[in-house]
Amino acid sequence: MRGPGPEVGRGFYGAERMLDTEIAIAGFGDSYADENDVKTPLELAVEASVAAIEDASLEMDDVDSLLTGRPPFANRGIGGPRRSETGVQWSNVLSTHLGIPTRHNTMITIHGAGANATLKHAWAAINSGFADTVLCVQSDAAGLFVNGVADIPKGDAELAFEYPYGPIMPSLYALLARRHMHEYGTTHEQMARVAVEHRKWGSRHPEAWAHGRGEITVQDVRDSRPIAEPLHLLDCAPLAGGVGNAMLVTEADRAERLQDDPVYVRGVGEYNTHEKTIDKLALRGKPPNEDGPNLTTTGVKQASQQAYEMAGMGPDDMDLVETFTNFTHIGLILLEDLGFCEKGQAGEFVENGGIDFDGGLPFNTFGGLISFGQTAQAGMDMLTETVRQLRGEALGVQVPDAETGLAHGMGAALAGCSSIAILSTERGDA
Amino acid sequence: MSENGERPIPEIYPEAAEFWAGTRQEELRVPHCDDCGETFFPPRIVCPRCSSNGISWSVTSGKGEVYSYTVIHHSSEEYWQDQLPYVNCLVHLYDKDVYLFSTVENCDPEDLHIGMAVEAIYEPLTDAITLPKFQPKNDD
Repeated sequence: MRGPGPEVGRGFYGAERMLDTEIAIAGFGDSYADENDVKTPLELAVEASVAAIEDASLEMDDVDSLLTGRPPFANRGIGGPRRSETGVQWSNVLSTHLGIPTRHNTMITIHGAGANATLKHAWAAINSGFADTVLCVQSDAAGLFVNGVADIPKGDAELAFEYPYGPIMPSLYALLARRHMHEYGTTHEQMARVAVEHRKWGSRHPEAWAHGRGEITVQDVRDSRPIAEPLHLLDCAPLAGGVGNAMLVTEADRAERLQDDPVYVRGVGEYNTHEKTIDKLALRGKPPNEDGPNLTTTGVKQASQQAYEMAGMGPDDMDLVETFTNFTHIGLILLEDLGFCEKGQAGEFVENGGIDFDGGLPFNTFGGLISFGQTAQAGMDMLTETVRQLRGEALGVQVPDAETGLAHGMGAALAGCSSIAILSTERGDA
Repeated sequence: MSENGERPIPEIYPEAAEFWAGTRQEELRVPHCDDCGETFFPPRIVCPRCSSNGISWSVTSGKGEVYSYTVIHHSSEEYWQDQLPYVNCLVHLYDKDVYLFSTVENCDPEDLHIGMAVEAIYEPLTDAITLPKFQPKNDD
């Protein structure tokens, strides 16, 4: 039985109830697409789902619950989830296509964080008895089907109060970077170092955008063309390719019967603060804005505190950390809000080798979105990398003796929605 | 939105009608709560602090300072490509503790800085919509 959680936001946290069945990932699957091998989001999701079921030694008919994140530009209808004028019910579209009725079915609408949060919802469904065999799925191929530069701001910028000024995703995030530099003295060189180390991992991952592109230097980042100052091209994740990911989740006892290498879900957390950039400054008197509006601290702080508490662990217990690092300065802010260094100190932390490919914290071992590429939503890429690393099946560079990892999901402009999962090869309730 | 080669026109949400009535008069108006006094932006249907639906509006000085800014050098849309480089910013109004997303014009991008004093200017887009923007305010 886990202890009571911290007072986080309005933080009830369920441990005092009799809900304490550990859950585990009994099977997973991933699928990939690029310009030379184009697949729709639906094809990617189906491929990954079938692979996950097979990996879990189950049949598709065993699944009684399907959870997804937000649909990947589904209304664009280019061969993907069926176009619907009333909004695509992506999780129901997918379960229907797979031929399975479900008794617990939802799309989790916290932007890009939703796909990561499927594990939290799986935990709740299994512990409540509302489901026993949960398929958590995400896929996205926006890089192959939409003009992301033009179209993503239509989803992430406030249409009346921001969009008329022509924002692009980098310009929204650049506002945060500028404040971090102003408040803490963070330099562009420190941000560039994030890109340099991420490229070392990404260039060695066969499915990454950066695969085969070689390494870069801080000067390369500084010399790359400005996009939205202070962000240059190499500070930004490229929109690239397509990915599908699926995890089959069930009670730990059962996972052990199905799979030699189950991955246990030791902690989950979630905290959502806002929808759009101006909303982040409108939040008053509540975490993380207890001391006043700010751009530089995100709800990742609260979400990760929940997950660490549930797992009975801290940052030092993480052998690897996979995050939604879509811009270099986000990598810095996440290191702070996840507790790897003090607020404002991530620039120095990185400068002193904190996330060095050679000997630092294994941070974004798939390259992060800045080197792996971002398929617009990219919601489950971090979970996939964590599971692969913990099972010793990394597609790129394998972290030796990886036992416990943290996977982060993020969405809504300037990290409005945050989801954390802590996974381990070691069971927690033993 | 900008498919016709024009700047996107904001939709008028019911709770924001007074804001756009204000900009048509070249005024920057923001809402506050009659019950708890909270001033807030963007406009909401009920007070975000106490949930009261007693909301009134007042005119601001239109003056504030740049809280953050960026200079944009890339776009994939023709309208915005013609404007490059252009500015996105967040402005903190002096007399009401709220932040607006906007742009700064009539300013060399090199001169932009956090804390720069700015004042509102207005660009009519349609009969219904006048878009507020900012320009540097020089000390007199």
